[in-house]
Amino acid sequence: MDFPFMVQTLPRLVAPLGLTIGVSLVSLLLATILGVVLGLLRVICPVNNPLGWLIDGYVELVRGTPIIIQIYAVHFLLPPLLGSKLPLFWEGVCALTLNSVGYQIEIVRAAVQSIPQGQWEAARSIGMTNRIILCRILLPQAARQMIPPLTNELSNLVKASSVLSVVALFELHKAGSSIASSSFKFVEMLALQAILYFALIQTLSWGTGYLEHHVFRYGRKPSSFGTEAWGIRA
Amino acid sequence: MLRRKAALTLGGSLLALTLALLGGGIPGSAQTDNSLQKVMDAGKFTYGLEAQYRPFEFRDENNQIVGYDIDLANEIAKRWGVKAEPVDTDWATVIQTLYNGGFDLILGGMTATEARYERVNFSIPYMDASSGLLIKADSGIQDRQDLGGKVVAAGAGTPSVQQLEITAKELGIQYNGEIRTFDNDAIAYEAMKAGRIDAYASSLVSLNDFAQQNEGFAVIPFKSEQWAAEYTTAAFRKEDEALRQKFNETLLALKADGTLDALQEKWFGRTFGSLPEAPPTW
Repeated sequence: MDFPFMVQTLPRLVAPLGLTIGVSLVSLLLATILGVVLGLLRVICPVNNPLGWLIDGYVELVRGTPIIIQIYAVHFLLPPLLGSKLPLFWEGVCALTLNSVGYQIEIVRAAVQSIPQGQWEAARSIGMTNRIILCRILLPQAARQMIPPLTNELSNLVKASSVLSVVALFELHKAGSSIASSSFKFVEMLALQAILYFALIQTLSWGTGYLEHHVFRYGRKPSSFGTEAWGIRA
Repeated sequence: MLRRKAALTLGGSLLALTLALLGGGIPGSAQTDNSLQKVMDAGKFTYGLEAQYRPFEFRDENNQIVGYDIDLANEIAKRWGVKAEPVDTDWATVIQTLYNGGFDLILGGMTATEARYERVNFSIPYMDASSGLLIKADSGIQDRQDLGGKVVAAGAGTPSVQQLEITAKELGIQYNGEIRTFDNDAIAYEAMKAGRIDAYASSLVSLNDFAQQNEGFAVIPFKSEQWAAEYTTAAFRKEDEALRQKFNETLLALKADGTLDALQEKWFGRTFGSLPEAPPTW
């Protein structure tokens, strides 16, 4: 392994790394908004409603096809549909968002449905409207539940962005392989990419960990009832 | 009956829609050819390549795309009074992207082949694309005949794959396992360094470039009467004849005044004088 080469090459990967971060975070933001909206719709949708079928069908479609096919589909089918070409960055955002929404619908649905039914009933019995129940009771609790699976989804998204190299978006992986083929330092470039992806995902996980423990800390269960009882006795 | 007919109509329109979507780039017969005019009006032409093919196109220390093809494109653009802009793309889908309007032409070290000719028209050759075999210098392989019992490989979707198949049949030899294919040369070089393959078939010039920069490798010619001489050409959409004619005229002028020789000297360290002056057809 040629370590000096890896260090020298680092500056060439800064801009591509920025692109990877940009495309992943913008996609995550858009996908989370869409995922919350569609996931809630899915939860409040009555059984056997066509809207529910559509959402379910979409989730199955995304889960059942490889991301590389989804990326090619956006790359080759979107321009004739739109009548013009999106810049590559936005094409990437489109592909990753469409993919991630499919998973986030399920994350939101599971989180909201994990709030005990009794809370709905209790809230309704004291006269709260559906909107208030959703905004004040269910979503704040579901939001906290959603953070760990969303962290998973974020790391998946960052790694999936490497597949955008097949449509020649000059992100981290594309830049890494370009440099590998002009310098013939293939293993070094793979190692460097692995380190950068790892560091990026670690940083983002610390961020979501902070959200979980500091911003959404309400409704946090005591770590164990036993210790509390012990505290009282002592 | 009615339901069935309705289903057929729906199926028909879905099919038509799919065809329309997929066929967005298939040439319409009644179109007028304004391909050259469009380039002149825009003041630039774009050309597709994958910047992972030394020395034709690769990225320099500033991530800029450089190489033989880039110099050639700039020279042609200069003579037309326009700008030339490379578009880095995925080589496996380069022809599809050409028809999707991703760029005006392909200028990326493409070898003219019969299969590709079904989709695109070629320019006159601007480089020799003869095949070579990369081997370890101490492997004892001296000729095609010695490939029997060895692990052989080639780039996915390149003519070298067929040439390896032809070689096995022609000489009655058997390789060790199937012919391996790799997405690009860099991965294959690494596989060879790791001892996973014994011989790698690709274009002679790109293999030479690698062997010159890396110790312990050698390149031998890979030739047979069974396949035609191979040339590197630019590729155009079937309907873009005006653009192709103009490109060919300029290329002939570059050959005549020695500019092409100078570019070959710069990037390959030698010239390839006797290239045919007619576009390859089948």
